[in-house]
Amino acid sequence: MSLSSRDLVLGRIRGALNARGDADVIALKQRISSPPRWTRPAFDGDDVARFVQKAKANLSSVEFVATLADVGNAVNAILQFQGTPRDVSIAPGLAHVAWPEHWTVNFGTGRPVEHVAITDATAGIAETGSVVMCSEAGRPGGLNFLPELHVAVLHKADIVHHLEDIWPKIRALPVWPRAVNIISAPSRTADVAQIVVRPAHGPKSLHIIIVEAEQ
Amino acid sequence: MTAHARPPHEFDARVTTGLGDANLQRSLNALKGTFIAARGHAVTALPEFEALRDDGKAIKDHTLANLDFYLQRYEEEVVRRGGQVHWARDAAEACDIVRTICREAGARTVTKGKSMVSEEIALNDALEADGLEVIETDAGEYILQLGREAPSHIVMPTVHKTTDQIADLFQKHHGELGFPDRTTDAAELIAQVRTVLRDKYFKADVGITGANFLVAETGSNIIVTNEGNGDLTSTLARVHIVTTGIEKVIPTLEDLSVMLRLLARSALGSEITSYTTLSTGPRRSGDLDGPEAYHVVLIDNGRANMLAGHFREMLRCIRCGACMNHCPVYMSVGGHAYGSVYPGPMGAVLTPMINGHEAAGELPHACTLNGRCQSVCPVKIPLPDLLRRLRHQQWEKKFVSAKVRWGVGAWAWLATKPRLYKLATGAAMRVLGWAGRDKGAFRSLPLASGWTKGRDMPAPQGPTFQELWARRTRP
Amino acid sequence: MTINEAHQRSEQATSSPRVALFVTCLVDLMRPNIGFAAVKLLEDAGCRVEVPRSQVCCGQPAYNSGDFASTQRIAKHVIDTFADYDYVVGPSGSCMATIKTGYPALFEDDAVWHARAVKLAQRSHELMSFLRDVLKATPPQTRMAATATYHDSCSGLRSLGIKDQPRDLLARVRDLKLVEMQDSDVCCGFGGTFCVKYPDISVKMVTDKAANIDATGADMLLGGDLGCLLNMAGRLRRLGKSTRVFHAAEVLAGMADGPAIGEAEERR
Repeated sequence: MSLSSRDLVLGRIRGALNARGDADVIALKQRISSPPRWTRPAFDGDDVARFVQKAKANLSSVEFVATLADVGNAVNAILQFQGTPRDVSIAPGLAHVAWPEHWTVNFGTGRPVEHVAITDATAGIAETGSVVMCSEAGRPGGLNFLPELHVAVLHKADIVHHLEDIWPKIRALPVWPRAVNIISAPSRTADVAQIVVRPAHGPKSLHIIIVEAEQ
Repeated sequence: MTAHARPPHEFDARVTTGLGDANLQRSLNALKGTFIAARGHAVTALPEFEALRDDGKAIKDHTLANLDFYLQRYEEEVVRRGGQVHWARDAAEACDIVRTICREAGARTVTKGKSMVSEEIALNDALEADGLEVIETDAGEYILQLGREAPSHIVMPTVHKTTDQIADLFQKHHGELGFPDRTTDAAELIAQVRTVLRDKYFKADVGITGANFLVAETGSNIIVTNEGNGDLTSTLARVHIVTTGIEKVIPTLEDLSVMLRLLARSALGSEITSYTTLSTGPRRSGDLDGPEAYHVVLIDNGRANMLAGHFREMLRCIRCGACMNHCPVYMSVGGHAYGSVYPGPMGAVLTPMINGHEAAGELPHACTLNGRCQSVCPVKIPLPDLLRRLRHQQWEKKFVSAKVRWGVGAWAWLATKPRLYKLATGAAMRVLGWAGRDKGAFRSLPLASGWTKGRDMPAPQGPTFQELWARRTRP
Repeated sequence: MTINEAHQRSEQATSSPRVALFVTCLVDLMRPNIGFAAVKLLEDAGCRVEVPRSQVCCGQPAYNSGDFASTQRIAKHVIDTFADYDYVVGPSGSCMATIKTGYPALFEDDAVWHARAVKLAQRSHELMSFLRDVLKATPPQTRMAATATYHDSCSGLRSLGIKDQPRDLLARVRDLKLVEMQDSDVCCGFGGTFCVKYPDISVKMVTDKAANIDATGADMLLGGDLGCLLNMAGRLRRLGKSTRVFHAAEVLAGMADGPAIGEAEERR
């Protein structure tokens, strides 16, 4: 019987490496369950302030609202200002929120043309000003990438210090999500003559609404 | 059959083309003010960058020393989450695996995110031969696909293209797609790409992406992008296929955090890219979107053979492109001069390892060993040392021309025979020194046309130091 | 034994360390003045300088061509020649880097020669770094009325960390104004055999370098490696520039009064 490619490749690899004993395997498993603590960028101050500063530096816009119920009005104000159609896609997990009545709302997956989509974040990262979106039944991942304007709803209490601090939150979810999207800026490209153009394929604008109230 | 190295004149011809291409020279020059300057700022702004480089190196070294363990763990996690893992020993097998998945999925349209390994295995050719419509969705790769060209940089594939060239291409290909007018406005050009591709994502049966990293702990593949095309590719197609080299795996999410900090800064000078995405398996039950099937093709193609010995260090590479951005040779001749999928210093090492010395030819030699690449490499790969070792392999295989072998051999022979050396050189320097004393330099010299073609040869002072020193110390 | 310990020990044994000058073949053949400048700087700093007669070349051309067997033969010759000195010092970053980093790597499979290579490597230094970092010497002040720019040769810079040393020493030269060029740390295109194997790429690189030198307005180019200096001087001359090119040691030793590299004798 001929060797499977899997066995062949693994065989090539093992042939080049030192033999491993039982103790070594235990140590490797241990390293996965409790990985080394690597260097992390040091920064002081308030995580929320840092988050806002970094997000803005990455050309996202940020605003604060008191409660989740206020998000609709905040978004409506933007749509009014921009003259954007009130045809809004919203993550189904946010269906329980009271949205402006005159909106046409799509609680579903994204469509080829999306003006505005509202999705909610699992976490925010102060280090980089990023929002972290985890796909699940009420959170279709495509909504984060299809709209012109992506509104990310983030609870203030979910802002963590370092990138590493999001992993325990995601590990704590019932199932590991199909997609974890760490979103740090609007979509861009520089593939034409190194000129930065926004957007490329994803949202032109990323608006982060931070909800002050505890969930 | 005896193997022959690729003839040097092929390389020389491409170099001449690169050096003579005014557009290319302008673009490469511009790179210094954009991405290269940005990297400098990003690195200066992070005092921990050097420590992170050490961490990154340690992470990759540890993983490579236990690669079989981590690949198996990765595989287990992918399977546990409903995905499938395929192993490919070489490029042909990798293409066959992807073709089979496409066939079994009844695919007609395939969207692709940017993947250098897919270039390495020439995947598009294989899929198109099966009659599939293959669409590159990264704006740069899309432009190159229209022009039937290869990338000239691993991060900025279109760095050699001018706006005018892109405008011409789009006028030709987008005319009947609702964009009849030629435009040279970068934003309008990109808007065309966005519009043309948007429906393709929804139409795609299969979406193929690469992987910047694989995380063993969770069975995730990670892509790091700015455009969002990779996410639309992986989310909206019915089937998601990840093509990746076996060296991309790292143990945990904590390790990933280190690598992400290094990659964005080294590649683009950004603290973090717009999108960092971890994809793990197909859609979960209840999910409203995401692929129904998730496949990973783990590709060896010469990598496992690099694990033994010095070339293991090359497997740390995270494909950031910093080495080529800081390589004065790459910046002089551009990526196409290398004639390989991977250009620049990392390409000069990888190409002979993947495709053999016969295919790589001159690449390990066309380098001054100045070491700037190593000094910016986020995982501290000793690229000059590896290039020198490749030269050694070529020397041993007698791939080096007889002229060079004779010249180096003669000098080396003389270098251990001080008396003979003094005799031979002393006379020569006297003659040269005397001949050059009026002008101080030669505009041309026999046997030195390589030097004097573009520069004068300063004349020696005359007697050698050793002669003068002997006179000084003579009692 | 660290270098400092070795230095202290040799200082205890005798107040003046016994230093072997590694002339380098390029200096030997093309510009002996640099060798004499090095001797003067070392003697001024209190060293007893000797020039072992059986020295030739560090083997770099063979090493960088991949001819490791020949390089090993040359390295053994060098190791034998320089075995008995407190220090080995050379006016070139690239030759000294070959000795300091190349030799130990070449003998990684040969315990005896590896040990000898490491021993030599520990005692070997590039001239500028030896003066400033090991001897902590302040050379007698010299004068040079010029505006100079300094090119960082790659091997010295990246293999040996030579960057501030020559600048610190040159800062003491009276009437010498140092101006930094753009990309002073980017290769000039010399690269040993590279410059004749790939003349077109090499000339492009040295043309970029010449433009950066020219843009400073400096009338003098200094460096620490004769190969690079020959390359840049050759290109500057071909471009019709009057920039005077010297090894930093020549200026530091007050021995830059003759023709510069590539300059005719009449100028004297």
